[in-house]
Amino acid sequence: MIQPFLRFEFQKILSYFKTKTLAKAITTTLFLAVFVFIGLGIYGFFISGFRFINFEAVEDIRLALTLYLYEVFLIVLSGVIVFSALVSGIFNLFKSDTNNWILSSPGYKVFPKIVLIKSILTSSLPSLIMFIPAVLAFHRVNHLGVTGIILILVSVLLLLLLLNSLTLLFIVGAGSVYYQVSKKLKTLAFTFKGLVVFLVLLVATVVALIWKAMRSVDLVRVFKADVDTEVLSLSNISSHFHFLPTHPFAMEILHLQNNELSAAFLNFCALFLFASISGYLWWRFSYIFYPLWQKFQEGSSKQDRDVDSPFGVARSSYHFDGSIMTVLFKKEILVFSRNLKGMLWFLFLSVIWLMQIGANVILGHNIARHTPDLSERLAILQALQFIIAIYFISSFSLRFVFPSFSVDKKTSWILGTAPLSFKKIFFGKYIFYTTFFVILGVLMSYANTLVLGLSTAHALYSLLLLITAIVFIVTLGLSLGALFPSLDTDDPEVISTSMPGLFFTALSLIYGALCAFTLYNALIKGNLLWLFLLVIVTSLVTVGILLRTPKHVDVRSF
Amino acid sequence: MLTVNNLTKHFGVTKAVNGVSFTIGKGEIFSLIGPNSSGKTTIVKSIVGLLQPSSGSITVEGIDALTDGEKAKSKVGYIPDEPSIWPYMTGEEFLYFTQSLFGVSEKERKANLPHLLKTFSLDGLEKKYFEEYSRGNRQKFSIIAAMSHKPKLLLIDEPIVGLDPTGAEIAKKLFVEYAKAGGSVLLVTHTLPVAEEISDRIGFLKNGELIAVGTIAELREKAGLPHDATLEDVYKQLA
Repeated sequence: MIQPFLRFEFQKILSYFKTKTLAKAITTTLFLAVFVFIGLGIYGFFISGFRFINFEAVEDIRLALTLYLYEVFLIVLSGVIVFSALVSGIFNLFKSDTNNWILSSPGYKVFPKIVLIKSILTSSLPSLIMFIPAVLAFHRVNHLGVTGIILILVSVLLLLLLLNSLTLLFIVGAGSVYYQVSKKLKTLAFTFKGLVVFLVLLVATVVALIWKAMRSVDLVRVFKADVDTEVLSLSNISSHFHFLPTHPFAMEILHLQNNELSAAFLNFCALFLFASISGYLWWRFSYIFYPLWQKFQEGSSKQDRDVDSPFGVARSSYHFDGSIMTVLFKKEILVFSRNLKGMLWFLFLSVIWLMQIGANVILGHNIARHTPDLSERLAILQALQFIIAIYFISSFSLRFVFPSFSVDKKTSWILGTAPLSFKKIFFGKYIFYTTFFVILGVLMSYANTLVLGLSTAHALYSLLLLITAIVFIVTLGLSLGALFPSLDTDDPEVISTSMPGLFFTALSLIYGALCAFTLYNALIKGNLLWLFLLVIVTSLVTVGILLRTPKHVDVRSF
Repeated sequence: MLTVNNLTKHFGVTKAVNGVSFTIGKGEIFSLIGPNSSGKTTIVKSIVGLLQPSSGSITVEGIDALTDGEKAKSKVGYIPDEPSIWPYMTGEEFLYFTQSLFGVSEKERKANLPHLLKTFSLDGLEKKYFEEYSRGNRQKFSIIAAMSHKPKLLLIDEPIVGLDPTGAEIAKKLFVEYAKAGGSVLLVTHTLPVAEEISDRIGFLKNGELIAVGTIAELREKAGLPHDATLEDVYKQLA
């Protein structure tokens, strides 16, 4: 069963190129070029990082600092893998109608194994994009040797197996507990939404525990090299991370760096053992997902037909009263807020953004304590923060705004047959996304302003530029999505990797860099002319796009 | 009520509809029947504004549907062959939403809804999400949505696919009553007995062309068949 599935997946990739071959080849090439570009950035970052550690850092803290870097890098990488596996795992296991043909066949037991393979394949690309440049940089600075490179690359695969298996076991394990509890408690309905809420709460608890363990590392002392052997010892750093499944891998890399091959191999064996055990556990016990899947196929039972929450709250109804624009606005809120998969991605991106603000808390605190010239450092941090904000708004827009017309393709008959102009449909979406992202951006910006302690004037300049930039990015994303709708798929993850999607990403990031540079100049040199000019030009371009797009698009395009 | 004149639609080099013309009067049920890919759905989608015709004209109650689409659409109710609706919207919300788009007041909505839901035995199910409904129930909701703003013209693409026998009977009865009350119906279907049972006139489509139009009696005569011949016999003979 697994072989036909792999053949089927391979054929799907081939068939993608059978129509509009040239356009898709260009898209794929550009997509790969973006990855190479990201890879080069990571490579450069690691080269300078490793060189600093090897040649500039104080000898006493070198190993501790190196280990800390490896641990944090692996945690970030693992976070991405686990979240990707969590979202794709939940939906692939329980909500993928296209897989019903496997589950109705005699080989249904192989299905969870296929989900594991799919999950590993999905998470392998971003992991390798982050990891290969890091390994190459590591090799260039530390001269690993063939054995070392092979060990590290195999370890990446083992890490993928370990994390994906653990995540899937976590999903079905939590699902089984939830199912058993719901059988005992009549007020607790067993629903898919309930499972997602339960998993999110569990993940939030785990993240909070990891954060608690990590934040106790005295970063200031490590980076300021206040030589304190207690704080800076390898064992002390190690003790903060030893409970994590990534720890043997971090130790393996550290030992390879020091040419301690046998110690590295020992850690590799530990990773191999953990990955094998978790993989085996999934292979052996994954069948327990099946009764849960069957239960979800039943839908709501008669008793709980009037409730949608796992806690038995009555389902609320939108009444869609008010003007046509209000009705369309409410429809966007409903569709956005009830899309579980979309909400999970939204949550994921928001958590990363919050983590970045958390990092600003530490940096802001340290700057205040250790830096005599505050203004320049604050300006740098604020400009960096600005470009990070633009990056997140672009990511949100790419995932939600840009595909918003294409994902409505199947339901387009509802609005298409109503007495509405495309202009109203366009602005219904526009007002919703602009309002939502401006509120989100302003809240995050306000949090950063508080953390960095910016002056009121500086905070206002930043806010003005941020709101202008968010409105522009949402306008650009929605307009490009309307002008170039996807006719092949309504999957937002596929749509966002199309050529117009890549064009949107590139344009919004370049624009974000321009904004950050202008903001930096305004904060440092007090040169406000360019900032206001940028705001005015952006506003004019935004209005121009808004006036032209609805005229060039017809609802019949969808 | 509806005039379709010389309607043509190309998809690339394929001519899906070729110079089709017909009219539907007030209170009339007109059925278009034909094999797969004969252009039935393309015609309906062109009338309701989901497709842009390559050439030809369409008027609904004297309103040019191609130049004044918004006004024309306000007179039309559309029931698609595949009722795809946002999975996380409830049936009740969908009905409120579509009725709001057609300007039905909140008071009217709340007054009409219980009766319409009861007609199709959907009362008590209206607070479920669409992903939980069977295909038949989704179809029932789309029928209610199309009819609840009291359109002058009803466009129905495969009306009883997925409906249980009781639901199909109710739907047919509803369409007939609607026509008796002065509404016009364009029915597109593969289900010949339904077309035969409720249609005033029938048109046969083949390869995008309308090859025969008339009452069942006229079509029998054209096919040279006796008066008791079924629509299926006539269809086989003419198509």
